[in-house]
This record gives sequence, structure tokens and C-alpha cells, in this order.
Amino acid sequence: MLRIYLILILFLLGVFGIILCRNLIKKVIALNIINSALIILFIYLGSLSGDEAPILLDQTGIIVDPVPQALMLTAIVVGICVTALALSLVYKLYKAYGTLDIQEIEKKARENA
Amino acid sequence: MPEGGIVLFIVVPLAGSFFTLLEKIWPDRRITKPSVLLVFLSCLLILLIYAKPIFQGEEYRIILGNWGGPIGIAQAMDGFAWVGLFLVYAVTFLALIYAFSDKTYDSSFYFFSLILTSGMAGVILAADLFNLFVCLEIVGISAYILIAYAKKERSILASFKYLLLSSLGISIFLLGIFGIYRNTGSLLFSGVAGYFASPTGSARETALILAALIAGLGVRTAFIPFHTWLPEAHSQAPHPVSALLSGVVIKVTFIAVWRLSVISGSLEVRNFLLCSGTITALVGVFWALMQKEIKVLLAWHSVSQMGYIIAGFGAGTLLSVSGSLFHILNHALFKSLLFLSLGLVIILTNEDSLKKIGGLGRKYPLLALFFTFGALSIAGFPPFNGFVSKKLIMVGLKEHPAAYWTLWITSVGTLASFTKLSALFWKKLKKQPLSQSTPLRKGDLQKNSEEEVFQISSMKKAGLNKTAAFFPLVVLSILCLITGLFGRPIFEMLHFLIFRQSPSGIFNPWTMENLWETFLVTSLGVFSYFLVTSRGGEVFQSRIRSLRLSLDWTLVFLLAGFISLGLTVFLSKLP
Repeated sequence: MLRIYLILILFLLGVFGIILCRNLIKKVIALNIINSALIILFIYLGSLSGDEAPILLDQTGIIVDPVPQALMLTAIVVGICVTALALSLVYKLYKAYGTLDIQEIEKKARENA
Repeated sequence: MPEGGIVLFIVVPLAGSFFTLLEKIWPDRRITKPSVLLVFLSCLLILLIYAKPIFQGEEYRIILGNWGGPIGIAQAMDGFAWVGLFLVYAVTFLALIYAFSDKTYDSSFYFFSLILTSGMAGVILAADLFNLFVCLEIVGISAYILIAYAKKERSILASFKYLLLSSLGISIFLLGIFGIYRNTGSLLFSGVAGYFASPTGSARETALILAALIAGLGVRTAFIPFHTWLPEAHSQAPHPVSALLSGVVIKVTFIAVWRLSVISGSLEVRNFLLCSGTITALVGVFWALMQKEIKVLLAWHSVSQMGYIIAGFGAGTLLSVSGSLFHILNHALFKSLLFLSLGLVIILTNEDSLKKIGGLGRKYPLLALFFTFGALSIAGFPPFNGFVSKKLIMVGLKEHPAAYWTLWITSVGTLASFTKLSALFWKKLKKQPLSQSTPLRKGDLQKNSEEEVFQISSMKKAGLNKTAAFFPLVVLSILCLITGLFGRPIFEMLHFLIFRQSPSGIFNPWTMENLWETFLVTSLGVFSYFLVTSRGGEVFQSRIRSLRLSLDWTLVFLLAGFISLGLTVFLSKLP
């Protein structure tokens, strides 16, 4: 149960970060922390189901459920794509507005509109 | 029909996207546009082949990769999916033909559009949660790129906001997937249905899972309180992309919401959607009426019309649910028509503010006609399609008077804001675009007085191909009229596709009462148009416009929506 709470804390850290950080890059990092918390959650769940790697050569013990791991591999790939795209957008925003502070950027955008 | 054929709906656009990129390598081979045409024509053809068995009530299910059981990638196609796929291909096809007219869109634009199409088809066909998640992310990533494709500062900011919000949303969705997998060991929709039929987890957990799944999809569907990203993202995208986003992308995710809430069989979610939908409709139309930029106004209308659709679904009566599906179809047609025709106006005048454009009708009567078709459809004017589907939803909502009257007020607002928009074509501009007496913020006044009255350039000068630009508009206008005139048979067909039975009573929108009501709404709408464009109204408008949500608050809204949805479900489960 302790581990679940630790993962919950990690998740909440990410949520607070994404809302409270003004720096765009920190927001992207916070998004990654949320994603990581979920990935750890899935992997932790999967690891409870057995104690041997799911390599079917000689089955002696109970193997670990491989589905969560496979799913999380996909989720990690998707996460990387989103992060890369987010960072490139942040770079474009930095070039356009000269700052990474979201409040500054929104102020400037409002003045331009 | 072979069952495996339904994979083609995803594979064909994906393969086509590869060919569009080849033009990047060999710039002198013009293969991008032919391959786009080929992809959509073949997809529509395959859809036509499947039409007959689907309309006879057949359903197709496959599990890819010969894995079977809960592990494989499950896909299913029923009548509902058929309608969704038809929408995706038809509207995307027309929007891309429109894009052909403009040389600024290069092959990478078509590449991402085709990836988007493929992702949308995947969302519609998905029959397991994880597959749904992956397809949603494909749709999301290509949509972020296409919004930022306009390469304006504002569009990049809009794209980033959309990215942040919907990534947070999809993380919440993943949390829901975790809950389902933990309890059932299955990701198939049938497994989800089994879980909600007899939940093994505690009431708290069930509520959390349901709220996570619906809220995660809700961010993409943009009902209140998840709508905050939509107006900026949809208005700042390039014109064909705006048509695509408003026309189909939000509908496609709504189809997923639809499926999940039907599967969960949860009355609480339906009630939540009913409440949220009605509020969304009213709030959307109110903000739309306050806007001065053409595309922002249209984008707020997308929020508002989604409200109709969601409320109709949430009410859960046979009439309102099939009316909701009908409105999905109609909204896709008229909203893309509006975005594309007003996109042309923006290109031709190089101006996107309502106040600086006027009297276009004389120079471009054809464009004015297309706009009128779209505007009358969205305002629910007979004999156009909006009239039939809105009446269906309203009749279905009769049991909920509060929702009924809110939507009634919304239709007045819709009419008023489209009267405001139509001023583009009939209102004569004075030499000074803004009269001195109009009090606005200081900066605005100064900027306006310096500027000349807008210039109308010809299509040729703007570098547009007239045939490619007008063809989609003609087709969409005709479709708007046809779906309106043949409203009843189409409604019966959609009703059969959803419920597998013909509608019990005969629904007739063409009664004297309804026509009288339309007249009443019209006169009230025109009256409120004059109210908001009066001097006091203008002050009120600019004050409302200056209220904007910052990015941090939109994120808070999202979480608040998630938590309130969870609490709604949890509290109603308590004895």
C-alpha cells in the first residue's frame, strides 16, 4: 500500500507542477512526471502477478503478466512523441515572444490580439 | 463482405500518407494531390461496398494479430461506425480539396491530414480501450501539428495549450484504463461492459474509473468544463484544418464518449452529459455573440452546437438520441461549409475582424449564397438540415423543461449571432470603419483610425484556384439542403442504425406550430442582434471579450470537471 501512496504522491506532484509552474519547460516536465507515475503504476501492478520473467522456455514459477509491460512500452513511445512536439512548440513560442514565462506570453498575446 | 476488410479504413490513409511524403524527396514528381484523391476515393468506395450489409443490420468484429482473447487489438464496425466513417472521409476529402486551391500547403500538410484521418478511423473502429488510447493520441498529435501549421504566434500558443490540456486529459484516461485492467484483466469493450454490469471494485473505485474514462475523452470533445481550449485552437488553425477540427475531430471523440457511456450503462453519466450539454450550448452561444473575430465566433458556435448534441444524447429518449446523431452529421456539414466559405472571405480581404469587412455580397454573390446556406442551416431554419435535427432533439427533450427552454434561448442566440456574422455581406461600411462614438479600449481606437478600409482582392490575385475552392462549397451546400429536405427518411435510417428498429411514431417537423416557433425565434434573434450592436451592447461586448482564462485556470477547470464528475457518480451510487 505504501508504494501505491508513493506513486500517488508522484502523480500529484506532476499535477501541481503543471498548474503552478510558470515556466513552459517545467510544465512539459510536469506532464512527463504524470506520465511516469502512471507507467510505474501499471508496471507495479503487473509485477505483483508473478515472480518470473515471461520467457516461455521452461515454465517453473508463475510468470509476470506481460500485458501491462507491453502496454506501457506503447505509452512510453506516445509520451516521447508528445514531449518532443511540446518542446518544439515551446521553442517556437520562445522565439516568438522572447520568454518562457506563460503569464508573460499570455499578456503579450493579448496585447497583440 | 470479408471481416478483415475493415482494417482497410485505417490502412489506406496510412499508406497514402507515405506517398504524399515522396514529393519531399522528388519535388518535381507531383504525386501528393493524386494520392490524396486516390486515398479518399478508394475509402469511400470501400465504405459503399460495406453499406449494404451494414444497412441490413450486420456487424463486423475482428481481432488483429491472431492473438484472440483480451490481448489482441479488437476492432468493430456497426451502423454507428459506418455513419462516423462516412463523415470523416467526406468532410476531410472536401476540406483537402479546398486546401488544393491554395499553394501554401505543401506535402507535409497532406501527410499529417492523412495521418489524422487514419487516426480518426481508428478511434471510430476501436473496440478495446488501449487501441482507443493509441488512436486518440495519433489524432491528437497530428491535430497539434496541423493547428501550428498556420505558423502564426497565436496558433502556436493555441496548439501548445491544446497539447497540454489534452495530454493531461489522456493521462486521466490512462488512469481509467488502469482501473479496468486491474479489475477485469481485459481491455475489450465487452470486458468493460462486464465490469460495469457487476463491479468487483468498491463504489469509490467504480466512480473514479468511470469519471476518468469520460473526463479523459471529454477534454477532446469539449463540453463544459473541458471546452476551454477549443475556441483558440479551432479559430487559429488554417481554414481547412478549422473545418476538419470543428467538423469531424470533436465528433469522433464524442462517438467514443457515446460508446463508453452506453457500455457503462450509467444513468449518472447520462445526466451529467445532459446538464453539461445544455450549459455548454448556452454558454457557447453567449460567448459567440460577444466575439468580433469571424473564426473565433464560429469556433464558439462549435462549442454551442456540441452542447445540443451532448444534451440530446444525455436525455436518452429514442428521439433525442437519434436526433443527436443526426445533428452530428448536420453540424459536420454546415460547420465545415461555414469555416471554408468564411475562410475564403478572410483570404480575400486579408482581414478577420467583423467590423472591418462589409458589403461583400455585391462583389461575391456566390460566396454570400454559400454562407447563407450554412447560416440558415445552423440557425435551424426550414428547409435546411439544422431545422430537422434541432427539432428532433427539442421534441426528445420535452421531459426536461429546464433543458428544453435553455436550448430554446440558445437557438435565439444562434440566430442573433449569425445575423451579426451576415453583416459581412450586406452591411455598408462607412468611410471610417468605426464611428468615433464607439467606446473601446484605447489601443483599439488608435489602431482602427489609422487603418484603411479593407481591400478586396480577386481570387486570382490571392493565388487561389477557383474551381478547387468552390467545389467543396457547392457540394456541402447541396448536402445541407438535401439532408434538410429528406430529413425524415434520413432520420428513420439513422434511428434504425442505432437502435436496430424503426421509429415507433411518425415524426413530422413540418407542422404549423414548428414554423410559427421558427418565426418567433427569428424575430427574437433579430431583436437581440440589434440589442448587442447598440452602443451599450458594444461596451458590454468588449468588456466580456476582455475576460479570458489563463492556461493555468484552464488546467484547474479540467481537474475540477474530473473531480465533479467523479463525485456525481459516487454520490448517486450511495444508498
